[in-house]
Amino acid sequence: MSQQEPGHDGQHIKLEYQPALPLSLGKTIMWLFLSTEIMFFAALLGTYIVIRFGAAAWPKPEDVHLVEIFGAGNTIVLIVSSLTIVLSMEAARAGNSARAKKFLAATLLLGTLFLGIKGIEYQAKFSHGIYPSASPRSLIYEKADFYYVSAVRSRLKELASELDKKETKTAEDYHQLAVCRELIDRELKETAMLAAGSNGEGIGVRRAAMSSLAYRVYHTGDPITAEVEQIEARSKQMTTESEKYLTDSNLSQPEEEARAEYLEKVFSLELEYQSLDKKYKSWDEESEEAKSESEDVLRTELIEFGEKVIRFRHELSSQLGKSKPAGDAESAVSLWKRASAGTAATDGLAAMQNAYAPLAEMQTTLVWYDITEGFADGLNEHYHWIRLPMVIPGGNMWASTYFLLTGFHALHVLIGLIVFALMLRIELTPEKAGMIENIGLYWHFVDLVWIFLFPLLYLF
Amino acid sequence: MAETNSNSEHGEHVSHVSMLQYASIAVALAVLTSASFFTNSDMWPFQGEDVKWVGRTFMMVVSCTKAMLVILFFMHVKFEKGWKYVLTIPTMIMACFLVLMLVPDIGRRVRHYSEQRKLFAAEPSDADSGDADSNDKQEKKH
Repeated sequence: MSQQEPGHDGQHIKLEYQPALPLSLGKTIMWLFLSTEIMFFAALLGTYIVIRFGAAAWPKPEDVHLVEIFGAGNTIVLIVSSLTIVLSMEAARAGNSARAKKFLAATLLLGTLFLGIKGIEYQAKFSHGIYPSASPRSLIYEKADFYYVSAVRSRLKELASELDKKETKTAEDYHQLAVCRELIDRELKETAMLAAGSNGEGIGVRRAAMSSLAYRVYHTGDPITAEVEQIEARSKQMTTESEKYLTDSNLSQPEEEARAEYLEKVFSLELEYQSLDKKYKSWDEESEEAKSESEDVLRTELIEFGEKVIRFRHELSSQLGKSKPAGDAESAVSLWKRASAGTAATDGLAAMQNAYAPLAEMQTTLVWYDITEGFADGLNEHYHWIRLPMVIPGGNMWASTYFLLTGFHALHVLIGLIVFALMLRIELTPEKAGMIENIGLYWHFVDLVWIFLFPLLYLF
Repeated sequence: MAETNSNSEHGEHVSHVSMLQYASIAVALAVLTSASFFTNSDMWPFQGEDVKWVGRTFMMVVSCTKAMLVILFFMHVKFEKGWKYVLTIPTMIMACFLVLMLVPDIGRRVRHYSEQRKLFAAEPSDADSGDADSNDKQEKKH
């Protein structure tokens, strides 16, 4: 660089700035920025490493719906995008602006794909009740203790109360209500009694009862211990009305499908029953004249429904393995019709209620069978609407660190994408190659961070 | 102001890395990623809690190799002058120092839990889903 001697004799002094580094200004600043980013991510990653390896318990990837193949896919996506940005820079330097833009567009697309996959992963976590912070929406508890059992009970009561308050219920609402009530009346009651040691149970059995509940709500880690197995066996004894549908693993596919169909039919009958009940009540409030006009029609409807219920009850009884009902369905129906002949609508209602009452009892049994199938999958997996609190030891800390690390990384990816989108609007001449180089440096850094994040979060 | 390559003094750029080399490095990165992912599969020979460290060490070595490939070739640091050491070495030292500094307080906090705190703390399953020391586990079992 040429340098001029400072002038004298009243001439202005000409100064020339010497660059401190053999780099362009933009590149220098970008590297300075990247060194701050290195420290930023080193702090986050370092803290994660220390927390992770110092934790008393840490969830396995399957416990928190972490799918390693998505992480690996994202790694490949970012590697390819690093290649495309560097090819864009080389193309711009060589004076091929169109090619440079194509590679830049490819980088933008790949970055968007990365964010799309990340969005799918986040949605999988949220849909299973795993959120960055412990409250208010996170369903994660660290330990199966009495607070946990209370939380499950509160959630079931809250659900039952909301469903009960609904003016117009669907068959699915009745099903959900029945499930909540069964769980509160049977499962929670048994667990609370065992946990409190009301029959003098030891600490091991009390803890096992709570762990068993946690396991039934959501399967994590290893299979249940021997103590918990005892609780499972005791609970099974309570439900031996019928062996046929008790253990879902014994059912063939057609039998399982048949049971699911019965369950659906039971609740559509419940829905019909409730709407007929309402219809009767509104008929009952009409004037005497109006009542007498529509009485026959209503009575016929009630009795027809009663017939339907008796036939279905008959079929269900034999399938559930209960003591075979005497005679066939048709004889039961004609017997009942003879008894109902010539009665008023009020008697028609009583007849319908009498026909329905045994079905309501069977409904309870059928729901309980469905719930025991839920225990095999985990209630939160079997019933997506139930969203019960679940025990994932170390889960809250995991969620917190996972979302923080990947969230900050995704934010950096987003910023990179915005810059790429802006750069697509300009002509990528050789003079602009330096700009592409600088944003490329940023993008490679984002890739570097992910190279370390992937094994640390997904594979360790 | 024209942006020029740090090695050029006359404004013309000579690419240090050919297209083939870029593509080869990308393939190498993909292969290394697969190698890293392989430690997660059933075919990985070092299964079991006591040899988990082998997989983790392997993964970190693979990650560092991938990082070096990206830094040296994609970021062109291989062809830069001495300033690269000024920028990277102090930050690496600070990064290591940060992790080490956190170990006594945060990393070993479980060892100093009170009995009251332990009542509400998560417990590892029997197969050690966490990485607490065996001393801590034995203290908790009662």
